[in-house]
Amino acid sequence: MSSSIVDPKDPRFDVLKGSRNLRWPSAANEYASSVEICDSVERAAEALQRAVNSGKRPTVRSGGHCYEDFVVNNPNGTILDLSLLTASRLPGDEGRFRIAAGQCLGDAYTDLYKRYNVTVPAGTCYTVGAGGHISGGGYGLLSRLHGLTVDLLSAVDILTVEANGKVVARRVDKKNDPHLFRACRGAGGGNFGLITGFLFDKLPPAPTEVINAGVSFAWAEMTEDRFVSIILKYGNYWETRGKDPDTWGLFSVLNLSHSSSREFGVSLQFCNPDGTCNDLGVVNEFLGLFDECTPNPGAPATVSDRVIPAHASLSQPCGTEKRPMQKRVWIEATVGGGHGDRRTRAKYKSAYMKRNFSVAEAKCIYRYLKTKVPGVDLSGFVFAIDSYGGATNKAALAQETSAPQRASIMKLQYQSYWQNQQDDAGRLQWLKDFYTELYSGPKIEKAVAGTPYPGEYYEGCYINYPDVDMLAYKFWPQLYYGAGDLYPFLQDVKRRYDPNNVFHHAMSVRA
Amino acid sequence: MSTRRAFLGSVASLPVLAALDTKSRSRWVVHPNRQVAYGLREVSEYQHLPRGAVDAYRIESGGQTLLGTQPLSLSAIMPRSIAISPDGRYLVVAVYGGGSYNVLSISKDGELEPVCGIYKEIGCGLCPVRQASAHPHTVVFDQTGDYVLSSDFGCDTLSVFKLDHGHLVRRSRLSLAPGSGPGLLTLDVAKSVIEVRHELRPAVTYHRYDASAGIIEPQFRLLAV
Repeated sequence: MSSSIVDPKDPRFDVLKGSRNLRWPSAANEYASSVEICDSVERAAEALQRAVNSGKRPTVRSGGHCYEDFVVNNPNGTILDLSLLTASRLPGDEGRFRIAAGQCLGDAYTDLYKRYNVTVPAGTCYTVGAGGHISGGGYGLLSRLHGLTVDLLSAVDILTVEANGKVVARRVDKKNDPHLFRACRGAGGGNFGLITGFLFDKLPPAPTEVINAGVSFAWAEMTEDRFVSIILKYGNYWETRGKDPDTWGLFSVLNLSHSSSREFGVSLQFCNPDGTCNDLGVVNEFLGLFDECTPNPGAPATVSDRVIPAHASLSQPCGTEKRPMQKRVWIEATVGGGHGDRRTRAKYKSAYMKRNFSVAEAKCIYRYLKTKVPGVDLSGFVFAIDSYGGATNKAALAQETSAPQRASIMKLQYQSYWQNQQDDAGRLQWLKDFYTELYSGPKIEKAVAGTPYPGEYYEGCYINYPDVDMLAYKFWPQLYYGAGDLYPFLQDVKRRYDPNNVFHHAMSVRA
Repeated sequence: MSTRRAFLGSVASLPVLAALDTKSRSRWVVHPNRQVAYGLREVSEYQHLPRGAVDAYRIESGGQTLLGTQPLSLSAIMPRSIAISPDGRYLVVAVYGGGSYNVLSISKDGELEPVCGIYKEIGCGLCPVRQASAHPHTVVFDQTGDYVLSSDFGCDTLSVFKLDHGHLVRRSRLSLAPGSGPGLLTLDVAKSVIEVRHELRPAVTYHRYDASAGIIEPQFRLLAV
């Protein structure tokens, strides 16, 4: 039998030490010295204790999708790999729903659907691990309908390291260690301990069916005016009509690409609040907004890894010739698509928006997407403008959870993908310049220029799309955790439950 | 007089280095070749990350030139003490703030190379405020250069680490009186005796050190001060 401890002599080590993001680790001396495969809570506790006892820093990995190097940059340390810690039923669960930290989202959806016909409003990428995803909030196509995954969370199983170095297993909830429980509801992974499972007393029923549809626009015929008009129409919908509860089953992504690609577009998933597609009024109304923007006739939106997939096999065409739609069984639409398994070089940024784009912002975006940078290939850039709000915007949840953004209508994810190391500098600089300029307009206070600092127009950034560029700003914690009392609260939890800062990374809560 | 003290004494006698000592840089050692000095940046952030750093300076007749700076490991904030191996190949840093030890290798010409060894220390003491976590305070090499001795203010402990190809492996750990807060540690090489000044109690303790085994014995003498 092979050992569960994979060291540099083990043939598996070269595969397991690395990251999906080929930028990480960036230097040979950043690699961990071992990876431990933990397929049960007990094994995870033993491995964590072993790391602590031997002076090694543990980092924890479920799906391995971290956008920065927080897990794999662990020189001399141990990566605790939880991807086989997947048991969704354990003694003592007493009828609660469990998602194990090592389950990937696709498997968790399948498990919850087949056993119980329920689901969680988590992310779209099949292979993202639940451990990190839910720790940071966990949102996806059903979040406008049901909120964040952490909004529904009832308890968390977590291993913490006591001040004296002893590993203890805790079940935290509103009564037991309530502060730690709140911190586990959105503050992000790698901060307080090793989460082994998430427990839910009640979950919403899985939708029966969904509609996938979209519109796309050719870059070749695009003008600045048309571009601005498309963006403002899109944002305006979420600022106005999108707040009505009958639209909360509608989730869309405006995927803006660089003009060196063929087209960009809007894709959507929809179901009525009852989980059916019996009434398509909302979809027709939304897609109708773009009729006067002359979309490509009948063409689907650009498909990227993260975009809502439009697989033909099990789908049933509906809608009209002018406005084609695919009606699909929800579980197929949710787990039947992309695997998100490719390895590539990548960089990400994020922003929450409380208001629609201004004309100046739309023009700035247009300019950057039209600009050609000598020697920098900008294909592979996706600027995903997700719909937000609906059930996530219940203000009281900001106090109950550690996800403070409860007033946004859109959530932006800047994604840049490329293959060659020599392109790193040009890609990173272009994205940094774009982001900095977009958040340096006249409506942004000078002291926070370059960032979507929480205020009238923006609500900061998303901790699950971490961006170490933000560390250059002294106020980076406020970008991710708001300008209120949440960050000091999290620091207090940190001091109490991880006084030795065993769990740390570049953007972990500072002790 | 300990190895470390000898080096500190040398630094003090070098007028060119006196000017280097600023608020953010403390704790100096000089390479056995007498041509390079190393100074800690006792800070909680370096290049936007939570860590301290080490500077290397070439000592010249007219002054000193910065050879380079190496960041410490993530979370290695507020480093407190630095020691150099007798062969001049390694620096060991006690990280008071972040609760760890870092090892940096040194090239033949005295330049610093990146951190090659990290030991994450964990523990606590009686005082809930000042001893809530580990606080490595002082590191010194023993006479063989094989072992590194350390005091930990937060844990009320003394440790002996073996330096093995740039990595620290704990050889032994001695618990001192709970709540005493051991601070400055010095090794009298000739007598193989360790002196520890405690910071939370008015006391100095003396311990025999067995360099062949890498073990510090319980105190044989306590001085109330």
